Amino acid sequence: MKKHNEKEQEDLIRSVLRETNLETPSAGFTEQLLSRIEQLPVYGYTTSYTPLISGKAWSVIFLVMISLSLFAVFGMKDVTPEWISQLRLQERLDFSLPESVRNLNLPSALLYGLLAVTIYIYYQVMRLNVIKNQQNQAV
Amino acid sequence: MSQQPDQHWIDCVLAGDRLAYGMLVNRYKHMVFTLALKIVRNREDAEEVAQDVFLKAYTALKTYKGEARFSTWLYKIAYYRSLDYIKKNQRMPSTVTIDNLTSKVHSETPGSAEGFDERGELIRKAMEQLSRDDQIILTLHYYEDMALNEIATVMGISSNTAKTRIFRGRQRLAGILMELGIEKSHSYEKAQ
Repeated sequence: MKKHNEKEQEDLIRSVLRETNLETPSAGFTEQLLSRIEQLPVYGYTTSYTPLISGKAWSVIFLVMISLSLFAVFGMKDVTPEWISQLRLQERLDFSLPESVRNLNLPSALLYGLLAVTIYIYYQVMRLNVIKNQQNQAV
Repeated sequence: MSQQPDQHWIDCVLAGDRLAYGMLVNRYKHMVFTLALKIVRNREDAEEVAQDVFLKAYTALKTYKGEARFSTWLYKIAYYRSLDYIKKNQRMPSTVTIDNLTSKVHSETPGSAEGFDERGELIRKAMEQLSRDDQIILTLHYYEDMALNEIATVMGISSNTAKTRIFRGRQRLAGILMELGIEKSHSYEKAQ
């Protein structure tokens, strides 16, 4: 009897619920959702990090710097080519600073200030570089 | 709609095809929205919750290991997100009394299209008389044909509790339907 009642109830509910459908969200539901998803990072995609100055460029810069340093220390007198003296650059070019600049007398406080700002900017650049590298490694 | 299994679309999404997620959304949006609506009891809020559920599922997709069906995993997110939503917004769900329903069923015109719509509306309202969790359980069981262990996973209860709640919910809903004079549809009887 109890089993029969249960069967009746089961049949009633199955039959009745078949008449009603699940609720439907608004028409643009999927499109709206996909447009929100577009703002999220894509799976399987990693941004390739390209440094501002490539490794190759750094090698060239390093070699040039070393060569110039070595040249400045050891090879100044011996390696001066004839053609440079023929250019007579010392006569044609005036490397001396203008009078107004030479007589410029800046207060020490300003010079120290400029020095501090310069150091601060260098520090910022290095710090930002480290942070950027960490971010790229995390992707 | 494509009949590819869920895992196919999941793999596509994980490989970077965002549009593939649309296939999963279209497949499950009705049930997710229905579950949310049964909990938050407001279409606008339910839509917001459903969107939130699919966004959450998208971001957590790589953590889905396929131990349970994708639908079970998704409905679990929907269930808990909806509960979180009402907890945050402190909404009191509205209910319809049986007296109101009974007065409506007597004014129904049997056989007419309007009568048929009203019957559907009454069935829905009768369902709303049940507790929130009973509605969820019956919806998962009768619309989605979910097994007891799957319902238990979605709601974080034991299979035995799910079984008891289905039994009680069914009994209560049958009682309400009979009180309203709603009987089995003829097409169902014929099919049986």
